[in-house]
Amino acid sequence: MNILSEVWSGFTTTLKGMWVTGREYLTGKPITVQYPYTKREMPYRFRGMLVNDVSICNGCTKCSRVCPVNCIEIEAEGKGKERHVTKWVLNYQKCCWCELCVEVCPDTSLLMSHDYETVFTDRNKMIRDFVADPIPPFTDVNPKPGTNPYPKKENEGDSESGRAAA
Amino acid sequence: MVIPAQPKPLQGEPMVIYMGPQHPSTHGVLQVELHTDGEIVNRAIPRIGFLHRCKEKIGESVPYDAYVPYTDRMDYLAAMNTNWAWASAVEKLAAIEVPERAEYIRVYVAEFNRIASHLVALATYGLDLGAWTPLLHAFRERESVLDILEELSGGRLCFGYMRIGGVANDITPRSIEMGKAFLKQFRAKLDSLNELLSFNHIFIRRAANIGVIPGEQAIAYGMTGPMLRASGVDWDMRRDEPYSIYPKLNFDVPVGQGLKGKTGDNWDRYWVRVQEMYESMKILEQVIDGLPEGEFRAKVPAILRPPAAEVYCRQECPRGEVAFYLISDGGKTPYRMKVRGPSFCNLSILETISKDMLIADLVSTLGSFDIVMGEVDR
Ligand code: SF4
Ligand code: SF4
Repeated sequence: MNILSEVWSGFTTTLKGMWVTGREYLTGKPITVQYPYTKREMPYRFRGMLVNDVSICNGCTKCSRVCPVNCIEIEAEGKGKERHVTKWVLNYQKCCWCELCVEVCPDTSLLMSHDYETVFTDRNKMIRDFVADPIPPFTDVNPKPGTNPYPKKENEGDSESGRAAA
Repeated sequence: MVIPAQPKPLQGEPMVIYMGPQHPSTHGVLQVELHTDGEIVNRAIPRIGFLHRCKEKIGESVPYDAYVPYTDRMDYLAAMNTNWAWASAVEKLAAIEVPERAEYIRVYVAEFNRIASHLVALATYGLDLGAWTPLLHAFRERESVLDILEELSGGRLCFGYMRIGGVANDITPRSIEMGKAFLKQFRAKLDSLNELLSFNHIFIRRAANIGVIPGEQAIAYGMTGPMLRASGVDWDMRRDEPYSIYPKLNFDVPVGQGLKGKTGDNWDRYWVRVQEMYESMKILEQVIDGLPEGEFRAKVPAILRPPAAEVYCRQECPRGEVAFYLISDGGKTPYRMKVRGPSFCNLSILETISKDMLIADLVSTLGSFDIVMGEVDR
């Protein structure tokens, strides 16, 4: 008798579970994104590859001082308005995408892009000098400094509070 | 007459097997040294340290604010909660007042992270026992939770969203919309997950009455969180030692009752987590309704130099009590810091309760502990 009830309840509960699966099969839609062919839209604040527009950067070294893993190396020359960087090296191998440097940057020259394909074929390329190997200046892509140059679409009601805050 | 030598009766020898650190059922890089006699485990010794990254020592060399990304990588399934525990420890040390809106946002993200973390716990527990479909259901829901957190913080696993004195960015209207939409459909999804896994007879037979931890033993081993509550001890930091805005919120603390077997067995631990997700939903609904206007971040000096003092600050995270012990000498970095991780304490009971268990039951027991090795080893 006991065995019979065990078998019965094992059978019925499994059937119930299969009913959930069947219902999902009939009514549910696949949510998988076929990644290399279709790409998800990243939210506005997405933290992708860190980029610096050295034409805006004033070489204040705030970012390198706040970085918890010391992955930014800066050399700058000039005084006051003339001050500009001669070397601004980011080590992508060490960077942990924490965005602390972006928060302290006074000129908003430093931003996290929406580029998340962080594959490199050469280890030396992971240490990038943005003076020798600059990115397209932000103003060409997006006239408002302080917003992300690479977003696909901005969220409603977020463009003010997002990047430039704090 | 020569008596032929009698053959010795057939005997099993104890065998030592190392389960892990690459075993799929050890949830990370945990090695369990099994002393087995056939299928019976005489002794199971957890060996840890494969993921040790000197987090406590690093904490003594980086400024208070810059340590937030490191706390992400401790309990990586509940990064928001660990972030928050760190931020509140420093706030207590430096006596920083946190704006109310920031507290609401913190509870919002922390409870969502609790749901995401528990979903992984349930899914992988099912997977340990051979149930594959619930994993897909749970991870689909978790992805929508992560979308909400990504909308706020920009990350999907290591959020780094908390700052000393508040949060990094204000909450967005879109994330509240996403949160509401999620809460609307999640209760039904959780019910169907229950049908799929929780009340499945085969699952119950694999989980109930196994790995029973009595309440007193749980307290003696310093267990916290769902594991302690599953053993029948009614203790939740959010209610019994309230912090942040939890006193204003109305929620229940689920406790293990031994519905399918003895109190404190694997199924109870599983079930407490399921019920906690229902409670988190209740909390989230209240938080969305009561979100006040105001600042999301207090004014904190750029270089924080807390007065020389000593604090111990603990919080209820999905796995239990995460605590930071900080000593400051008035400098830019802590003089000494110590982390109390819940998974570490919870794991310590494995050796005691695994005696004379079947190997298959050991896998079931270990799965119900819901450990995260990043936080055990630190
Ligand atoms: S994102 Fe973080 S780790 Fe990377 S450079 Fe900026 S501060 Fe350093
Ligand atoms: S903080 Fe900004 S302006 Fe200052 S050095 Fe870094 S990137 Fe340049």
